[in-house]
Amino acid sequence: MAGQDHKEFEQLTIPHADALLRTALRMTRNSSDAEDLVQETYLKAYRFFDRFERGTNIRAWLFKIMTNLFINSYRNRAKRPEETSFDDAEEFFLYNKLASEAQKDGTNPEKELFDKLYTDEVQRALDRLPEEFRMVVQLNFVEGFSYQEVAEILGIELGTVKSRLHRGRKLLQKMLWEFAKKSGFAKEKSE
Amino acid sequence: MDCRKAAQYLYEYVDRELDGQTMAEVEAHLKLCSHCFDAFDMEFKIKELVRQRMAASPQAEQLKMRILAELAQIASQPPNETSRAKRLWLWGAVATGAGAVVLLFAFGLPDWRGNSSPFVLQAAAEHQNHLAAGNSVLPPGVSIDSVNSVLASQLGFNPEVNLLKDVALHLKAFHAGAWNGKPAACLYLAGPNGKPVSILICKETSPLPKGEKYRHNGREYILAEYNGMRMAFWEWNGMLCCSVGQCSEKELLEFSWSV
Repeated sequence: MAGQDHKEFEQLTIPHADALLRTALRMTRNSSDAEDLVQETYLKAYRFFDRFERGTNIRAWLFKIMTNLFINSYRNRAKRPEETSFDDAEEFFLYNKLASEAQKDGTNPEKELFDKLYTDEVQRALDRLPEEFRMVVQLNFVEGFSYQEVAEILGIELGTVKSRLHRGRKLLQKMLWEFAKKSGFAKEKSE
Repeated sequence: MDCRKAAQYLYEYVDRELDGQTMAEVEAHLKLCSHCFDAFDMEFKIKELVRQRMAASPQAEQLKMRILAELAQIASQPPNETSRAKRLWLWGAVATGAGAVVLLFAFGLPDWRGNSSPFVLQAAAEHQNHLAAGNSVLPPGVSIDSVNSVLASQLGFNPEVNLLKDVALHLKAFHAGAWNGKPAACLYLAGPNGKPVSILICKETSPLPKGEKYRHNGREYILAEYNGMRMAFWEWNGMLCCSVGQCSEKELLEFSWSV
């Protein structure tokens, strides 16, 4: 690669290392695998940089390379904590739960719930989601990719993104509810 | 718009994925219906909660330094050296061809300029079947480790020489045997956008077939039609390489350049 391209590559891609590592951690659920994955992503991107269409979204391009690497090589050894069951949650799960909590004693349980959900709880809830849902939630919620971008990164249909995101967030709400209860939310009330 | 209809648009509304018209209709309903407003508001807050809690980036500074150092190292190598690791795996694949148990003499050892179906077409057809059967991973018994162990045990290949990880990512299956009585290996790879590509490597020294010529990195590639299929041929260290794939010619050429 010519010196100029080399410099351009660094300038365009290095700022995205943080976001890539953040998502790699959710993919592999293991920090050393996550770092290896990001590093390999850069080497691959570097090799194929001449195929990157200038002016298009380099961030999405990098995420796509990383996702492919993950699916092809890391997925099989990714640590798998118990994933949630596939039972669907109802719509407006947390909203309804909180509404019934509020009815019990007339307080505003929303703030209390959110206060119980620290990074740790949210992270564990995400990690328990089955991979197909976890990926779309991570890419849309955390990395802010549009449905179309998520579809391109994962190589799936737009409709699949929507349905996975739909089920993913219902499961996520259920998980968040469980974790909030474990860390003490609504304890006095339910006992 | 009623509550039931509004609920259908809930997530797309929250995710800002609705067109302007529908967005306005949902908003109009939310102004009138406090129940829906609260429910939608909760979805916003949950999304925002997840985003905020997960926004913190892990410490990537050291990783960035490592990546930059590695890129600088690659850039400082002369172009030929860059592909050293790739050559090693090609050598490995060819060497495996000489020693592996699966022998493909059964294909009649045709000359690829003749009319009978050559090894690579057979390989390509098998590859296509393999992928059509939905096998997106290496089939049982064909792992990079086992390919590497064949290299080491049967050919005395340096066990530290492993197939390049990157190739391992593309490799879906592997056949080794002989073609025209000479060692040959066929790699089934996931090519551009996952489209199947097969590459045959064999110790064939006869000249390349006639076709359109392309040059890349000092190597000549010939694009030629064979049995109705477009294939790319190139020479590599006295070896004939030949690729065929379910993809466009441009993709096939570019993929061939990259491996």
